[in-house]
Amino acid sequence: MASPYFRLRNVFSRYRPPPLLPTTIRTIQILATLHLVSTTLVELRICTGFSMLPTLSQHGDCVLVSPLPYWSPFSEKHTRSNRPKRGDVVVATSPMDPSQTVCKRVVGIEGDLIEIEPRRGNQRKWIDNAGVGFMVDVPQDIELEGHDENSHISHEELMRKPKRNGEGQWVKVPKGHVWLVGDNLSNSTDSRKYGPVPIAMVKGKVLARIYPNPAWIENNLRQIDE
Amino acid sequence: MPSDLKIEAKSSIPKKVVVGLDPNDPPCKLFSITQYQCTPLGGRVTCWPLERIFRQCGDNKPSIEVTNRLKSKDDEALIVDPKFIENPPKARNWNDYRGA
Repeated sequence: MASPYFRLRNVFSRYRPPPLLPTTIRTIQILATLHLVSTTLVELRICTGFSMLPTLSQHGDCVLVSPLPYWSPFSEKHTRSNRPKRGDVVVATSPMDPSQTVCKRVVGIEGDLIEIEPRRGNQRKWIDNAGVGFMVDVPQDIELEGHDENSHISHEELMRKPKRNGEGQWVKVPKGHVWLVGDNLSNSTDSRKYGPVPIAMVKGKVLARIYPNPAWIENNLRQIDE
Repeated sequence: MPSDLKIEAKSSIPKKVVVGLDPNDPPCKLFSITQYQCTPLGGRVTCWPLERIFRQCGDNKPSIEVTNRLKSKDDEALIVDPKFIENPPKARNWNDYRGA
């Protein structure tokens, strides 16, 4: 007569898990792998909105983002060589709403003195075909095309807007922070609104636009020759 | 705003040609980052480039934005206003401006 131990062992040896279990385990493995890849290697993200025009479309471009350029195998801290660089386009957690992310360009790194508002010029009222008026941003010394007496589009000069917030004010980017600004200065909520952003909130560098019109997203910093 | 807006980066606008560093500041260099002012005009989005100019003295040193502090040296070359270099703006923290 078999002992209770052997009977128990027989029961367990004959037990076969239901087919649902391996499927669930495999699904969890796949999801964990995808999470690992997206948080450490590359991920696809949609960047929507007007703030990065004309680099990225307002309709939502699918971009390739990687944290690897800012990753160091030896330390969790960002060393000089692996921190975001001026001119990089990055994805960061939004300081206004941590559940959202933003796509912006790094304009300043720690220690830099940045003019909060570099724009100069007027805002003008523009009336389109439907008679809807927009306040539009027009740089200094730019004449609007199509502005003549016979044009179906008309614009009127409004009073010169008072100085914009941040004109002639320089802010120092503190240690461990970056100054993020959208490429479209006329329609972007960025460091001009919420200040310097901690590097820890930068999730990765935008490497390329995948769809539509695949292209590398380049660092547009340019040395000016003597 | 109409959804079929077309983006047109204006290329007819002459870009600032900024060359010619102040000879008194040999270790300093200028660099630029191109940004834009985009606005919907006549069913299209028109973008005017805005070159943001920075001055940096030494590698890995902090830079200072000089976009609106450039002066004409001759027809093409622009230099940083010497007064601005002599008296750069006082470094202030974000909280000093926003009082947070």
